[in-house]
Amino acid sequence: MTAIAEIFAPTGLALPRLRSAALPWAYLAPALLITLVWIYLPLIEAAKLSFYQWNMLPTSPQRFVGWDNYRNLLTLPDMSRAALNTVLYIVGLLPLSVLIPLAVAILTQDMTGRARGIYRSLIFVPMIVAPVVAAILWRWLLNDTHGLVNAGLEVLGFGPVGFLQDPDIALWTLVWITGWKLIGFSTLLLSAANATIAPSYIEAARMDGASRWQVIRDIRLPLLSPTILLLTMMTALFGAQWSFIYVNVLTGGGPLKSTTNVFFLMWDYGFKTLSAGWSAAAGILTFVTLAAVALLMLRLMKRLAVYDE
Amino acid sequence: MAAIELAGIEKRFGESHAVRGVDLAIASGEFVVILGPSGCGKSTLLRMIAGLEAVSAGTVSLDGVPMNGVEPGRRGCAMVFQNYALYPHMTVAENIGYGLRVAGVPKREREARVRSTAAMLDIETLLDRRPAALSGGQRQRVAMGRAMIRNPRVFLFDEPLSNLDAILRQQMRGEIKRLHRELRTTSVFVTHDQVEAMGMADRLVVMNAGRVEQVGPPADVFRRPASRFVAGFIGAPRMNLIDAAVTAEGTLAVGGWRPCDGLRFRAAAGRAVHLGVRPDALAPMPPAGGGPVFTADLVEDLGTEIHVHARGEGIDLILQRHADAPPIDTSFAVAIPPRAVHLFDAETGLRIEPDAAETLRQGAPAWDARRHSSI
Repeated sequence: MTAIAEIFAPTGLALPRLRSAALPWAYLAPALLITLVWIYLPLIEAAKLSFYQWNMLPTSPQRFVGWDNYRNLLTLPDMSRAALNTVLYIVGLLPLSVLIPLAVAILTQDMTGRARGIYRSLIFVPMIVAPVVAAILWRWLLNDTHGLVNAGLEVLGFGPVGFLQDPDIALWTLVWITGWKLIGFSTLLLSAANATIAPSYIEAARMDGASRWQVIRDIRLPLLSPTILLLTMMTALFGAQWSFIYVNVLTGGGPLKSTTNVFFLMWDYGFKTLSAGWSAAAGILTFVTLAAVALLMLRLMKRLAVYDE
Repeated sequence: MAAIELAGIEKRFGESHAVRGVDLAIASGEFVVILGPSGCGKSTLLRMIAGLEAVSAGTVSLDGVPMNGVEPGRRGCAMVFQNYALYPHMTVAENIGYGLRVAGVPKREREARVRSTAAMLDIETLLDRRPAALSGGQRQRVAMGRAMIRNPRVFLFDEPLSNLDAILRQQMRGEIKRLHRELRTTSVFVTHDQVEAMGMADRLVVMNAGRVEQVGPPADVFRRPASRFVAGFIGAPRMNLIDAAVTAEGTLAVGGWRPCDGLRFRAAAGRAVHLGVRPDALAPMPPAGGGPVFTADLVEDLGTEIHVHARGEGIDLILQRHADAPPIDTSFAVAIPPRAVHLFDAETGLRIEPDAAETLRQGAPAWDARRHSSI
């Protein structure tokens, strides 16, 4: 009996320990697997592809070209135009995704009951409209001959505006449509953050003699800074990407490539001209740039954001 | 002229009636404590003085000037909040100096005043820290500093010590009193802690259900509670309240028991009353006569004193005895010294005084509870 016990004891002890060590990984496995399959494998594949020339036909060979794809991309006017436009998209989106929602959230903070419910639904509706539907809706509204917006402008005595045709305006039209869909989301996020600010801070500031504006400037804005910075970071990282669908549906990057951006360019290279190497190289460049931006912004957030305990 | 004058103050929050007609005058330099159970409207009253809450009816005047509708920052009041409400994104110096910054005081003067205020509170070394890096007691001091720096006419304290541990609370209580002695600023201090209230108040305001029950120096409130509520609320262990009735001769009857026969009350015969006796005034004695016999149910030895929870014939009593008093018998009767009797009308809850002339004629000693002074 003792002998048997001695033989089995170590295994009996080791097994639960092994199991308890493996258990967390078992729980994490689905998430890790998905991340691996959908994020890291494609990333590695794209990094590899960016050094090859390939027309995406499974039967055709992939030819190693070294840094050629990158060299070509960086000298191509297309790429610099797209990069500049990407920056314009992001800068144009910031007022719509941060400033206006911030103002709306603060101005409507005292709303209660039914009015608040109605206003919140109204401002959130664009968020749940399918992007393609929104794109088509805006195309109708902004049509230069029959569109409602131009009809209105005409009544006011302005000539028709080529919202999607004028190379100077088309990009800003797409910025507006992208931002229009974001305002609700940002406003809700900021309203929620604003509502969690302890009323006693506001009261203390009022006792200190602060005016309404001083309360906003000195108390609310600093305490909203984590949310403001988060939204700014999200806009910087994803803003141009969010506009992709509208570029694709409404302008196809035109007129005169005035509305293209790096995300559209990637797609254009990859799936229209079937140059997988170029597309991948553009993707890797974008990834590296945005990763750098993200790191910078995270550090900035750590420095600037104030967290209430 | 009163520093603070409240006239007919009412506050309604929708359906609920938080403050129901409060009149109160607070003299300049006075330290007034508003005491009451939670939900009695004491904090609301304080916030109405501050201007953080609008009054539903009545007038708040400061130094004789009606303040209804005046912004909190322009009333000359400073407030210390229960959770201190220190701005989490500002340093201690910025917190203390914020009121001056908003008022447009130049930076150099501001810094000097912040330093001198911090020196008074002994927090000069903390000026560069954020509130998150401070202990509870330190935060309390910063909150005091923020209130003091603008030299307010009135200090308002909203349960400022309730987040501190017992030792710190006692220490801060002393410091606030010392500061008040130095600055002589009119102060209103809200608390639900009777020890705090008794210890700090020049004048005590006891509130219940939106009304003021009694106003007076703490000792008076303790010795002559104006109502059954005040009697039960102030004093620990709480005052024993025994259901009784007034007899035709004006004496008290608890069933067949006639405690303190010498006392006479001018009240209708058969009137239902509550007989109140502080636990330290009850004396146990061997069972004799017609009085109820009590048995000790629970004995709490607190070191300095012993609380005996006793029961007998439907009456629950608490007796408070000195730690070195002889142990109590398992069965005993109690004697109620006439001078320790508080009587309250069962219906209105108001105090009924003994008929002094009648009582004297009966040979009972005059009412004097001053010897019984434990809280």
